[in-house]
Amino acid sequence: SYFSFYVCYTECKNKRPRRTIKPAARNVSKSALPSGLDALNPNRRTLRTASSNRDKKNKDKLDTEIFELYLEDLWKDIDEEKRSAYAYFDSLWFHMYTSGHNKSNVLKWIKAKKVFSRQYVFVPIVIWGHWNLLVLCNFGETDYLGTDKGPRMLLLDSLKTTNPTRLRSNIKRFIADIFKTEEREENEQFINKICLEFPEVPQQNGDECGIYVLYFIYCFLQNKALGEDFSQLVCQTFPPLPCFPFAPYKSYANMFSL
Amino acid sequence: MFGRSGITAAVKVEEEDDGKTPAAKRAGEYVTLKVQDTDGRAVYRTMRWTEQLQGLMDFYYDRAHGRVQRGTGRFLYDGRRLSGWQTPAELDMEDGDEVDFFEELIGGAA
Repeated sequence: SYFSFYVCYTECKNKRPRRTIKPAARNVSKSALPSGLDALNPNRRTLRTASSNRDKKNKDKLDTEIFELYLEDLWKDIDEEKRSAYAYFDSLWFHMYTSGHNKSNVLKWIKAKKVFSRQYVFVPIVIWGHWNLLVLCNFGETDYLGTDKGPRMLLLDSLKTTNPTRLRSNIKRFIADIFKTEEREENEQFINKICLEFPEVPQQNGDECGIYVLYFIYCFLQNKALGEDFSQLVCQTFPPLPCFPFAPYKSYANMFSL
Repeated sequence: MFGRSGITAAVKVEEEDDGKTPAAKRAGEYVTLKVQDTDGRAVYRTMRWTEQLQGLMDFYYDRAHGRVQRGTGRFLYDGRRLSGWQTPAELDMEDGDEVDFFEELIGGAA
């Protein structure tokens, strides 16, 4: 554990992204690429980048494509047991659901994720230009409703000023439809009793809410004991952000070097 | 993989019927796919089973030229992101299957 921390710390200090990365396999390089790479460098504020105004404006923001690539890499590193106990949704799905486009398709894809057999399901949410992380916990443990072992939801938000009320109603509708799609017997009264909690989490300084969502998922994945009570995890002090693993960054850069 | 093996067998069968049923040969060799985006546009393309899907993506961008910026979105099939190097055979796609195009979202608030 100490060695891992040291390796992470060393990598954080030394790593600098390439200023321009041109993917050979693609016709057009994407403007989000420099911002994605820059955002993961802890020295990003000292970098001089000859980029366009749009890139400068969005340099710390993550788009859904880069986010997915990082999350896929994080998922490769966990063991088989966690891979079957946890699941995550594509970061476009919540938006596709709320905007109404392909709503039925999204619910079909969600059903394939077997939410009710998982301990944790991570739902990245990009809404109104901001990233949040919704975690569905123990949804299948319906007999334990109201206890720490029962179904509950966590909304992790790195920006306190965001108004959660509007998002709350979207989430409630979302959850009700998930239950309906699964043809679960629980009624609306049961669904309303599933608590939506807002734990205290580290707050962002700039535009890096996407990084924070990846970081929150990473902290859950680092949970050592599979059956560990998640409330303990939430109460723990989060490790400092520089410990966020940068291995996915290498894989991502390699992907574009080919 | 299973999909490829099936297609290989199909090709062998067609070789045996070479010259007799050209229509069947053509039907087995090609697949017609549809790209649907959120503006209601639908683009159809007929391609070989073994052709990379990058051709379908480029075809959509060409048709949407001026309205959708190339490279700004994502092609989803069955909820999963398509890569340009994949082929319909690898993904066991069927004739008439639909691919959804969505523009990528970006999030960051100061």
